[in-house]
Amino acid sequence: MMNVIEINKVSKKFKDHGKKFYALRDVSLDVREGEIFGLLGPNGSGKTTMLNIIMNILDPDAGSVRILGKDPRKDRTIMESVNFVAGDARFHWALTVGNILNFYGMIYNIEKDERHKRLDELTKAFGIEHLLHRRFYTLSTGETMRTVLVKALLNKPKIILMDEPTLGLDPEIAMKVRKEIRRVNKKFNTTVLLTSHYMNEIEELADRIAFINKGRIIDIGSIKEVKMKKFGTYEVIITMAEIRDKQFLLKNEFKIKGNKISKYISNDKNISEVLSLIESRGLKITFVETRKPTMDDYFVKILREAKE
Amino acid sequence: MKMYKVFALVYLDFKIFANAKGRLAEFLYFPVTTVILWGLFSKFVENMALEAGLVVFVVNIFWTFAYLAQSTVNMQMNEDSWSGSMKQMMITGLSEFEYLFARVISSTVVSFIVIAIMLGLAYYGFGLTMITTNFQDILMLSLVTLVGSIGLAILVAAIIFFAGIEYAFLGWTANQVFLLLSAPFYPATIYPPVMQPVVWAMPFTAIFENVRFMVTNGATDGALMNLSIITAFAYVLFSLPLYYFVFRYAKTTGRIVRMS
Repeated sequence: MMNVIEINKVSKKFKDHGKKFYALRDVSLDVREGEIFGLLGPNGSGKTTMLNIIMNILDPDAGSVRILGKDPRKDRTIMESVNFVAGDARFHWALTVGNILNFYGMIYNIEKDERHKRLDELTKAFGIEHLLHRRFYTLSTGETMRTVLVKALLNKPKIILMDEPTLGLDPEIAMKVRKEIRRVNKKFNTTVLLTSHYMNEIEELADRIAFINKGRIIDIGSIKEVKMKKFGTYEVIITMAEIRDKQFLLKNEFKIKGNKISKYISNDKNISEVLSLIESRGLKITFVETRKPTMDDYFVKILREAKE
Repeated sequence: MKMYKVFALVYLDFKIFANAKGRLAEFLYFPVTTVILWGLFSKFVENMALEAGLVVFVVNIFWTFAYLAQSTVNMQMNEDSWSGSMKQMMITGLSEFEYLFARVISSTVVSFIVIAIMLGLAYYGFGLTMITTNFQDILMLSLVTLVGSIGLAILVAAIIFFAGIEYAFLGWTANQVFLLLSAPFYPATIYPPVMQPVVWAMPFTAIFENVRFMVTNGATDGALMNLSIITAFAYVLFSLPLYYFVFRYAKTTGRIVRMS
């Protein structure tokens, strides 16, 4: 699979009150064609700096960025294959939705007829065809995001960069946006590089993630891989009809609480082994649940480890 | 330079001009009231000091034109920053010169429409006949004023990109300083000798001197015209590389991002 974004040893320093600090330090990262890649990290970790460098509106002090095999600093036209979605996107207050979409169609050099055709299709698909004459600033948060998504798809980008795309949206609209991101990714094989503070969003969407802290990438891999690295086990909680044979349970490392027993088992171990073990002693199981670590757990754990 | 990007920005500018009543008023209100104000003044002093009245009247028209041509470029850039849309534009692969050139085109179109309105009003409302008798001179002076104003606008844009959006006010104030030092209603010799080089380095000094010459002598002076052309183009030639390097610098320091 081809790498559509290649970041090689990128460093960036800024000055704050006369003191220099690294916003990014020796960061290397590849994003593969057609994947949804999540960039995670706490506030001020360097995610936005990274996005700004990829978007070619900020120059790195060292290292290189290649988009679809080209250096955007040398060949700006490559940025016409990229688009951007920000949760807090703003446009000039005097412009209507139609003005904005037409402008972006023009700046991406889409012929007039083709532009109108695409606008027609996309505005219908996102249900904003009735908003074309409305001023952008009068739109609701959901309408704003749908407009921004239409703008982001106008040039049929190969890569979409998304900075907190569901920021401030209510759960229903956020869910629709996530569904749309997934649909665009699947239908057009569009690569998505996403930053988000919502871990459930990352878990739902991302094929791979990179965790960035204090300007360095401290973890990278698929959701399953990174969780496996941090949490080798998951918890099985079994509700029993009655607790008997306590010694056997304790010997097998079960914790007992009321009529529930629980145990952490290795990620590569099947739950049926545990259940067979209990049933072999004639103990009656009434309910079984598992608690796998979430991305929230991962976020907290990796940050805690980084601080230590 | 990708012209489709330039025209897209020009399209955007004109949509903003058409939709923002404040901008439309700005383009018409001050120029029209300026012509009326100084047109009436020239009528009042007609029997006392005909030439002085005309000088003040014509210079004010050029003053307004120069201000408009420069401030329109800078205000569009300021508005991109204030509206938070600069980042969205820049990531389309727009170059610093496409961004600038589009604003120069928008400003040129608007400024020429406005000066045509001002001159029309001056001609029909206040009998400023030199507009027809000296049409070529006035056209030439307008073009040179436009070039000087654009040079100044590029310089101001460079300063704002260097110093940050807190200095956006230079977009509508810088011209006043340059005009003040450009000897608008009086000869450059009126300034102390130590200031003379500064005064002659201003983009509009030779233009205003020539406007006064035209009012008193019925035609422009060739040497002054040449000097004004050289000065105006010198501003453009000096400010263009400055703008380029400052923009690059602003991309490195993160100023562009902060302005977005």
